[in-house]
Amino acid sequence: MAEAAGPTRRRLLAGLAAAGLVARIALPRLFRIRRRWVLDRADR
Amino acid sequence: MILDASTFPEGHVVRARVCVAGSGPAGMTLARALALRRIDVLLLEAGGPEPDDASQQLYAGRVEGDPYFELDLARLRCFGGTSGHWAGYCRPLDAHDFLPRADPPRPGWPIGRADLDPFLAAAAEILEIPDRFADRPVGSDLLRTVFHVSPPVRFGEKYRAFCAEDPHLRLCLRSAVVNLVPGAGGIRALEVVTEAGDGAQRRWQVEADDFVLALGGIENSRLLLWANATHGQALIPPAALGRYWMEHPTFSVAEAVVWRDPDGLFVNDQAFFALSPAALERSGGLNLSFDIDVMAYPDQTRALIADLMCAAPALGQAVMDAFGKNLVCGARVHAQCEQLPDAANRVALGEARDRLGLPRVVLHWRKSAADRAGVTRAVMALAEGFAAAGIGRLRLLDWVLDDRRPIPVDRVMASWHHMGGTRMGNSPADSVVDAQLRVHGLGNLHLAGSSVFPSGGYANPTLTIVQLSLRLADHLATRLAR
Ligand SMILES: Cc1cc2nc3c(=O)[nH]c(=O)nc-3n(C[C@H](O)[C@H](O)[C@H](O)COP(=O)(O)OP(=O)(O)OC[C@H]3O[C@@H](n4cnc5c(N)ncnc54)[C@H](O)[C@@H]3O)c2cc1C
Repeated sequence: MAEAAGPTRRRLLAGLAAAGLVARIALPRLFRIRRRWVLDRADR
Repeated sequence: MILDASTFPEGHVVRARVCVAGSGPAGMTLARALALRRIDVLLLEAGGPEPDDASQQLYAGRVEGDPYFELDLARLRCFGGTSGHWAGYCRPLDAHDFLPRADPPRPGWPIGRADLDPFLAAAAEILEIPDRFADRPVGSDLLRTVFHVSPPVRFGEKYRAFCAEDPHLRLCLRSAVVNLVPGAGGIRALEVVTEAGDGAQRRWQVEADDFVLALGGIENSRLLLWANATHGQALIPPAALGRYWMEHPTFSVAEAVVWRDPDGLFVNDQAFFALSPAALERSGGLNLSFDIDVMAYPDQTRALIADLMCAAPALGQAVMDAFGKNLVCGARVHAQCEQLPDAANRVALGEARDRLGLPRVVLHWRKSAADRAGVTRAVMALAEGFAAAGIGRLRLLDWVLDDRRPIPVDRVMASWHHMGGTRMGNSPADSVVDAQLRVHGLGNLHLAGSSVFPSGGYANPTLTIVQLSLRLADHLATRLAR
């Protein structure tokens, strides 16, 4: 499980950085954001 | 010809071949189609030539359950009926709306789409819309669906001159049917009250070979429940009477970023999407339509894309670039949904009476857990289809993702579409009218309007109502010719 969380976390942080939000957004909120989007497999 | 029924003596009897009650889209279409075949028809309309408060007052009632519109505002009691209010959106039901389903459970209609298709062109002419509805496949699971918008036709305005001049049609305004008079194997007469300007009431009767009630999706049930209450429960088959009443609930379900297509689709146009029949069946959801409503302010779209960047960085960045080139827009996504027929959703008679002596309506209406589950399943499938087809991406609202959350009140309402209550079916044990819209067990009483719908799809009902009335006109004309 821990290993699986690694890349996810990295991708999320990359997303945060891209959105200029690293300092302002907490991970639980990020998970909520991700959950709301219905994405295509290729999007992530 | 327009008759002034306020001059009739008390107890007067008028005779006609066919008596149609209600001059909305259902009744007017039918009465006119019969008159055009030179069949003598008497058209009764409860209200006056224009809407007025005194008439609307008789439509007041109570709603128990989910928030709903005031019943005296949700329909019009005057010449032309609720077409004086309607917005004009038209679409036939889908072929699969007529079929039974196991999951979610829903009965089929005793007729199919092929029984109504022959009346589509004539109905479209009446409603002044094109008669082709060419849905376009988008990706493998979605359809870009077509609604046509009637000008909108106001039946009272459009057919006033016809009613005044046609030699085969007689129209009585301010003449409300207040009861049925049973006869051998059918109905002998309708009891009518005409209110004069000074409020005086005249009671009179219509005798006819055939009677058709087209009083609207609540009043058809109300009058028949009242007939049963006064004549004994056996007159109208009681099992389904008033029950299985349905609306088209509407929900805000998501926000979306959408890539503009070559037609400038999302910028200038209202766009509608639905699941293909196969994708709908796979989803186990209810039939519903997505309506894409473009956001007015660029800042809202930018914030939405920033949010997408957190979830999908590369995609988000590409979308932000496209947004800079004006190729992307943000949108709100609304859904107009099918509702499952549920016996607990029903028109009932209250204790209070109106000034004509009829019990006021109590409408019991709720969206069930099964309705909610059917909506969220279809929304999920639509959202996935949207992404797979490369149209855009949806950000679902929290209530869609978590069925323990109450749906926020500002996210949900209904569509002013009143369906069910006297549904069509093969047996009096679970329906009120047969496939020819004849009340089971009564030889000469037929019903018109969306009260006969066993299920409602998501399409606005009036086009189907007009098709059904044209089909009923054919049926009655054939019967009378025998
Ligand atoms: C705001 C609004 C927007 C709408 N938009 C759309 C839309 O975009 N598309 C769509 O398809 N539908 C729409 N509708 C619904 C549409 O108006 C109805 O589907 C349509 O009017 C139903 O036709 P009807 O003839 O069955 O009933 P009605 O139009 O309600 O007519 C019933 C008639 O019967 C008369 N009557 C009632 N009781 C008696 C009685 N006891 N005796 C004699 N006469 C009686 C009434 O006065 C009335 O004239 C909308 C409705 C509203 C309120």
